[in-house]
Amino acid sequence: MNQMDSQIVKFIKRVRSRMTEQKILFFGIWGAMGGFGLAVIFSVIALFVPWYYAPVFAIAGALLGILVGIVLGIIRKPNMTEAALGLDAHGFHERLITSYGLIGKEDVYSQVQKQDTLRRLGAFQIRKTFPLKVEWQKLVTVLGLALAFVIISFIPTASKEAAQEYHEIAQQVQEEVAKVDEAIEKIESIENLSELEKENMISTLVEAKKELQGVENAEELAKAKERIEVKMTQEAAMAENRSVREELQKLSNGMSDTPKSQEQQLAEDLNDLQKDLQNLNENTSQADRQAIANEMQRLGQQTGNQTMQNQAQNVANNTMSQDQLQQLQQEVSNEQQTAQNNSNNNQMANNSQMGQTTQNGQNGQNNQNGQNGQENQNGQNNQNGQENQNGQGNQNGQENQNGQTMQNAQGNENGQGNQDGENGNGGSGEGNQGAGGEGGTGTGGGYNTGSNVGTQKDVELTGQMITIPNREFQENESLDGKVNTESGSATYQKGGEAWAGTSVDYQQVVGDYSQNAYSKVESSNYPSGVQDIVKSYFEELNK
Amino acid sequence: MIQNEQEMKQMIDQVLRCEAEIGKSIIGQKAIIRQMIIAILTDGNVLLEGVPGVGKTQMVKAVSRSMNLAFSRIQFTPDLMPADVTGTNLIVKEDGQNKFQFEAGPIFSNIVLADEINRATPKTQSALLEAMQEKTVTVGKQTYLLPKPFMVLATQNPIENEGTYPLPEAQLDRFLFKLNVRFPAKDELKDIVNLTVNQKEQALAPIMTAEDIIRIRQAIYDMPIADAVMDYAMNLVYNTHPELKDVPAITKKYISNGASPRAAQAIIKTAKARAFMENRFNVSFEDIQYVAFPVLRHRIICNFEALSDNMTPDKIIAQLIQQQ
Repeated sequence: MNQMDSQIVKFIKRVRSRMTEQKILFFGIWGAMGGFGLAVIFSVIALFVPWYYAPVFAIAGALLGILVGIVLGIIRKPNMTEAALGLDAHGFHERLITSYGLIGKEDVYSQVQKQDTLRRLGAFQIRKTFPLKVEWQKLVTVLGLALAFVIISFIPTASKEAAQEYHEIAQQVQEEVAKVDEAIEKIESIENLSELEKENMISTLVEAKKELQGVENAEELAKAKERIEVKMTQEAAMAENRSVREELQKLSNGMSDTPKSQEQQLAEDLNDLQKDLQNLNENTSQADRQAIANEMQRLGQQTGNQTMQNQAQNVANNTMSQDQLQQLQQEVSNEQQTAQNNSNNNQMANNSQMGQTTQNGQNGQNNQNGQNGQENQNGQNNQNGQENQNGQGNQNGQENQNGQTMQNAQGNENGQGNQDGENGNGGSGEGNQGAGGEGGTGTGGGYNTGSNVGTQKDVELTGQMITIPNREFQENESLDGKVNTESGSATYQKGGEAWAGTSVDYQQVVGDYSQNAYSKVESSNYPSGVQDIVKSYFEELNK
Repeated sequence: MIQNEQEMKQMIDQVLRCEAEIGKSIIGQKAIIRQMIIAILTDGNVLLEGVPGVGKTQMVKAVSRSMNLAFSRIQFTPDLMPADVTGTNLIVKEDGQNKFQFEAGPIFSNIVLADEINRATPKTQSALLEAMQEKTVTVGKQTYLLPKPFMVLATQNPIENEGTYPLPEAQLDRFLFKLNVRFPAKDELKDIVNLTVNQKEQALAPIMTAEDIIRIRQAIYDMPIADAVMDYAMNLVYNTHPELKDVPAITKKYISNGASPRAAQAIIKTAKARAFMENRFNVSFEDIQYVAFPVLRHRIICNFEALSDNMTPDKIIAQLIQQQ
């Protein structure tokens, strides 16, 4: 390539670059128009349809439009021939394209032609001939669309709020489902469980997962979480395997919206330890023994109980006599009761405070209800004899602990009143009325149990009664739970019939509650200020 | 073969001076003069169509004089015989013996004006075919070369069709250009009257010779043409064929027969000559567009629909160019 050829090629390349810039500008503006047009469409849709990701899609659409435009401009950049022809169109009469075709040719005519071309190019200015033209109309359109997009994006509508709510629910559901999945994985990895047990546990969890995935609003989510929490607590109470119990309890805790206090956790851990000691026998594996021993050591340190710490090694080595075991169980039971009492006292104090500050609010009422439930639990703790009547065998104390655990869980839920009622019903038959009443009154700020119970009072009760601790009554339905709790030979049944409770007169419920509350606070060591708060609350209710 | 740019410039200058010289005796009709020069420089024949008295014969005379070429005129009439054009063998006595001797006809000239060619019989018209295409004349068993350069400038009157024999398509295709000589504008008409009535006939100086024409012709043929420009010309010819795919709708609607490959050749070489006369050394799209009209207008045959819609070949060509 001689010098003339190089000059011609160089010139055509410069023109090509300039034409490419123009094309990028042209397609970029078109792309921006398309992109912002799309963004406006998405934003308008989001005004009427709940679409949480509309702003993201809109911005992505706008950016994509611009990007596509730029890419199109680059892809469709002119080749050398097109660049030469583009230049020729500006009065060069195809001199450039002819010269480009003659590159490498050295004959006289070719030389003359190329010289003629270069002479013409001498006075040529690329920037003048190929100015970067911006079509103002299109640019104004792009800016208008961008402005419209911004304005529409900031218009608040019900759909946008709904979208935000749906999104948050979906995120919560996702988090809860992840917890369930994690629990499933862990249960699958537990070696001590039989396939059948695993299958049952997993099927329960899968059902819980489906329930979570089926929720459509915040209320449904809260209900689903509550149901799962209760269910997991029940399953945990019935589970004999420590790992399963821990997993289910963890899941149950995870579903709860109110975190547990340190005392409450300690009480539960001691309760778990108590169960482990109860199930401790010759068939217990060394690994489980070691785990129990470690837990004993930890809880012994936490409670300052020397016996628990001393006996931990014996448990691990399986060198413990029956007497020592019973003594240890008694120690643990005592510690658990102490922890439970502490937990209840703390919670009551907190609730009292909340009740004072927000006495007229819904939260205040709910907290008061929770407090009452816990008060009842305390009473039960002190009265082991009640549980003996349920035929719980020789381990009354331990059974009481179980009952307390379940009630604790109830205490965190608004449906607590129902559960109390059911337990009472199982015990004496009189409690059935109380249960309905408590459900109706105690959960007035909860999940519509009062109204449901009320409408179900005339239903004829047939079939087997199933006790479902902590289960809030709604409509008659098939549920999982224990059958024949009053006979002392309770068995777990899936899909049994459960009936809604009956309605009780409001004054009767309030009267019963008040009487119970008065006797409890007076026989307790609560500060007089706290006692006054409780009394004044029930006085207000009786007006 | 040219040696340098200077030589090329001299040739161009010579042609342009010749054009200017012709313009001295022909008022207006600059485009026709240029197209005639292009035809001469590209070895083509021209069919001039125009009403009587617009200066067709005068134009041909002026061209021959300024180029210093031999000129002959044949007035075509219905009784004109082929031998009257080509010449014939005569019996002559030479050394006491009768011999055939070829007596050359008026066609043996550099520029032949075939005036009112459509008045002669097809037989006589066809006598021109060989001369126009092969540049030879065959009489008896003998073939005679015509002088170089050789071109036929035929005229025909578009308004008097009675007693005429329209040229067949095969013969029309042999004309490089068909030039429509328009009636002069008012000012031009005034100048023509002043020139021809008040003054003596303008004496034209010979600017170039037959040898110059042959040399320039070679330079023109050597002119480079870009592929894009060549493709453009080929597409233009291709688009005149209604039987082909992907041609414009106007072609299918108004054209019954398209231009021959000879038209494509004609476009390229005449476009080169036009570029040469524009002082360029390459062919442009504009050159193609310029020569497309005289090259194609007599080569595309319009159908009845075109006639009824008043679509002339020139209008069709203009639209084809526009759609390119």
